[in-house]
Amino acid sequence: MYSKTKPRVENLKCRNESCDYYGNQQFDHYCSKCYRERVMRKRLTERSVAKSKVPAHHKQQQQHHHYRSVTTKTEEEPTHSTILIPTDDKKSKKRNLLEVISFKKSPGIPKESKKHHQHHNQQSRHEQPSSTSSLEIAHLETLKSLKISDRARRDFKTLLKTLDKTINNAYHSNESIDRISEIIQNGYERFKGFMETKDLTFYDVPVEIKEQTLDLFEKCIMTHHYKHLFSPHNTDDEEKDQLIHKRIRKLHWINAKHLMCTIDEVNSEARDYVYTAIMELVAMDSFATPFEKLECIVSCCRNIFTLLKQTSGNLASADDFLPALIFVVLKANPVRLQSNINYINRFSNANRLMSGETGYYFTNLCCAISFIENLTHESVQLTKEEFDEIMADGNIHSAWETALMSCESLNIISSNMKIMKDLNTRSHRFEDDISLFKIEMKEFKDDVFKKISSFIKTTPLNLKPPKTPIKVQSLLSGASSYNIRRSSSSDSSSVSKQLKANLVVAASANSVSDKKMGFSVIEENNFDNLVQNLSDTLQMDQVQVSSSGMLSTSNSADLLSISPIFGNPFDAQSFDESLITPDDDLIKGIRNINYDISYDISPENSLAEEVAQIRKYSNLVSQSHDETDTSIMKMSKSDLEEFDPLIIKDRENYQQQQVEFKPIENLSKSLIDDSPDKDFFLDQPLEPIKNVNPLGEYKGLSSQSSRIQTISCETGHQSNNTCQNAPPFIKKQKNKTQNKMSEDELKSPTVHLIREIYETNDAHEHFIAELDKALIEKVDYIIIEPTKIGDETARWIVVGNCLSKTSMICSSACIAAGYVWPKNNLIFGTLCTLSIFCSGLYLLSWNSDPCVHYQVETNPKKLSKVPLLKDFTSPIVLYYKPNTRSKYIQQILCGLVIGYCGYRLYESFK
Amino acid sequence: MKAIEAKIVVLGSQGVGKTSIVAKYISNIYSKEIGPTIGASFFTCKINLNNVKVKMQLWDTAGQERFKAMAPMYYRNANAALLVFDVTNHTSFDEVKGWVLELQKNVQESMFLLLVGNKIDLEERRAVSHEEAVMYAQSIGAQFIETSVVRDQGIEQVFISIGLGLINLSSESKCSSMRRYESKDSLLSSTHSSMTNLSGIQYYDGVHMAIDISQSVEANGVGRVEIGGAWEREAYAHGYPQKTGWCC
Repeated sequence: MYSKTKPRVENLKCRNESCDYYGNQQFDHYCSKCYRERVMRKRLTERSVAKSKVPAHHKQQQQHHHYRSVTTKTEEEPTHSTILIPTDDKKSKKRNLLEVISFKKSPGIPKESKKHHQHHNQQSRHEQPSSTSSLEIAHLETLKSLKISDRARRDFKTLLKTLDKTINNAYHSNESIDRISEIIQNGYERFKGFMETKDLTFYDVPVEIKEQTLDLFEKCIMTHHYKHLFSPHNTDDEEKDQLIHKRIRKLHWINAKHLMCTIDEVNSEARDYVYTAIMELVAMDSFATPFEKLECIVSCCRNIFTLLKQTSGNLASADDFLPALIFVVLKANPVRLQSNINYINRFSNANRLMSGETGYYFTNLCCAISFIENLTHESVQLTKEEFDEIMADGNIHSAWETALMSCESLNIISSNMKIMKDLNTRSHRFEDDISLFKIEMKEFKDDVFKKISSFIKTTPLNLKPPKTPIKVQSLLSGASSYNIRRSSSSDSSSVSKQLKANLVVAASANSVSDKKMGFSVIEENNFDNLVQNLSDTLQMDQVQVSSSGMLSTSNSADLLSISPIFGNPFDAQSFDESLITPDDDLIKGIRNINYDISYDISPENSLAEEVAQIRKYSNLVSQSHDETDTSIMKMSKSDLEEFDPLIIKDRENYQQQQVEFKPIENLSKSLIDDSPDKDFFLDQPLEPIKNVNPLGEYKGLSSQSSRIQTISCETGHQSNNTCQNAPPFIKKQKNKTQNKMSEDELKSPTVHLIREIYETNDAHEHFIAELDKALIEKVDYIIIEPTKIGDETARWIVVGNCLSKTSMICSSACIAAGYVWPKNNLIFGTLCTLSIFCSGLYLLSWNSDPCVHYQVETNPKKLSKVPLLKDFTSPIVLYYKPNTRSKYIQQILCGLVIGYCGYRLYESFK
Repeated sequence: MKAIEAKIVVLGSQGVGKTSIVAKYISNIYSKEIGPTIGASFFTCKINLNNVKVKMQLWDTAGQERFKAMAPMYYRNANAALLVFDVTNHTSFDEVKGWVLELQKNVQESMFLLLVGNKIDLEERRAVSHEEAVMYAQSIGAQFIETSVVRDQGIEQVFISIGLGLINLSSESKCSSMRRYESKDSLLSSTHSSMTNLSGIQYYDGVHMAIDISQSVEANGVGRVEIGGAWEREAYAHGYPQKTGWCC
């Protein structure tokens, strides 16, 4: 605006040289004030001649135009303070028409619909006040749309006319504006009174309509007389306008902070609200009626309230509202503010100003103006010096410059704010990430701890010292018994006895957990020998391990490997205490021990091992000293194989040896599956370190080492890892040991349990399947708990035995009879038939049945030897007893009988 | 039914809780309603008391010292004044005295004065004793009520006693600026609905108060309506049976 219309200043000045204002072509290049003065002077002279209506009207126009010139001068204001200026020609032309149109019911005016009228009204909202004619037409339409009788309408118009006349008269008789205001207020009152008077047209009209009618009455009057009554020339309104305008311009530097109001100038949303409020306040000037002007004020204030509510979150109080309104007024700097206020004050229905929301807001606006007028340094929290300085500076900067500057700075601020916001969000994100990372770290830590603890739980540090010594003992005794059996050396039995005794002593002594003491107690040479052998073997194995790694290729029976842990200095020391040549047999026994220990490295030992141990203990307690050897031997063997996954893997290669181990697996499985037992296992606490027998120590360490190994490798696949790591030499060892064991006939009995657990509907079939499996696998003992299947099996076996025996006896008898009574065909034939029948039957039904290898154990003494038997109430125990010999004998006898029979037949036929 | 319309101006220093009393009352009334009010500085409500419809307009004023000069504009034509002070702040009480002097000086018409001691929840920091306030209230012919916005204590009493005071004032015909008119219920309700659209302020007929006033009165002695000099017991004695029925 500024750059576009920058004319040359000299030509624009008022023709009156003493005047600073700009001139206007319309006013003969005078400024509006000078022009008016000229016209006034002229008119005064004219008035004496003849009275005319025109001058007053002109005066009003001049006022406007003078104002216009003023605004032209102050054009460097922010855009929002531009005003809508009445155009001259239109107005004067329509002026004469107005009276006709508005106060005579003109049939020429088309009846507009209410909607149309509203639309029109909306349009007119932003039209200039001058276009009053259209407004008046609109008001007439509104009157038509009011729900009042035609008579009421007529009365309305009559009253309107009367008031109009009165006002005109008063105006032309140069009455003071207050007098006119009084007349108008009285007119309102009279109209109101008229409406409320009984027996008149308006009496039965609802209050609501009455109020609307009153509003319309006010609107009509004020629209019509706006030109005369707005900022009339005989008041100082215009001067006041200018004063307040200048004052506000001087105070342009005041910001929200000075006023201590909560408006955030930088916030774009808040700025939007402020702008809307400003727009409303500025728009106030463009309306003709006080009612509409007040509506603008209300709308402005509502915006401020909304803004305040958004900023503070609470309902805005007057304490917040008034400063905000002052701020808006200062920033809006509305044109003809004082004129508008006075206009409203004078001509608005007094009731509206006294009360109601509108009244409140209007009062507040008045307060704001009064505050601005009387603004001192105290009002804006500044010292007098500061205030004066700023006020002086404020004159230097034009409003436009200030606006530009503030605009720029606002831009900078907002861009800075944006950057800050971005930084803030970034830092927030960073903080969030950090906290997230912290949480993750914590989680990871917890996870690791959890995993470790779970590992410790699954593979507990179960230093179970009693176990190994017993194995040692058993193996030793097994070895000794081997000695007794095989070498039959005179002193070996005594050695073995001594050893046993020593071991027992050692066990008891070590249970006090003093190794040295344990060793001090054991002073006997035989045991020392054993110990020496042990340590030698261990050390040798260690060397082998370190040299040949996994020892998978090693075939030597001596290369029984062991975990490097066994080379523990402590053990070496403890074992190096004595030096006596090793006994071969003992070494074998010791190797078995080694095997045993290395087996323990495999991690699947936790629960099942404990069970085995418990069983072992129970056996130990229950069995006599002699029996202990064998049973422990057996158990140790079962212990060996029970939990080694490799056994299954290598079954194909080593089927012969493995066959008898397989059932044990089943056994262990069924043990674990058994719920009461399981509970028992779970409740089993870690056993305290009772025995610190050297071998026990190894065991503990070895198990520990296995655990360490597991953790150091991939977590979570413990069993797999160990399987992969441990297998080769364990496999080897196992096979070798088994070979040895079978050679030595030191077999511990393998047991298969068929538990009476009805888990599914086909439990019976399951039992049968189990039994078949056990039979095929040729375990030493099959314990059948289910009575039905047990009885059946027992009966079957007994019948088979009976048949077999019958067949044999018959065959023998037949042959015997053939010799004794060669002629007696009857006896021979009967026996022969019986024999062949029995053999045939047996051959058909039993021979292929694996259960022929089993016999029912009934001997209580032998039964007591069967492990795990105590768990069962009335089991049928089958023991493995290969009947190959009797079978062959039977078959041979049968063949003989057949042959003999054939011979006899041949002879008889010949 | 008789109806009176009155303007009540809320005076008091900044921070004594003028607005919060009004806001609390608004929130109590409008808690169930949909339309949110935008400001607490201007508020109208209607109370039916003693068969009289009292329409009250509360004009909140800015309490800051720098706006004090503008106060006459606010209390012009007011029929009642709510003089709020903070019981924990004796200065605010002294300022109330200043307000009263100003009112007495500038207002010719009789006005109903209600002295409100706010923030009695902060009993331990009390600076203005109950007796002192009562004495002062009696000396200026005002009523005295102690309130707590935090505990929602005495808020209802404030508005009831204003209503009763206004009825009393109108019956004595002391106040010319107060608008009196006969109202028909049906007409009024329609008027209100139209005015709701017009001004955005909501009027509610037949909505019971959310708060049981008797309970807060019985809680302890404070917050009870005190009898000022110009106040006759009879004036509100028959107002009490109606208390369950009144509404806003």
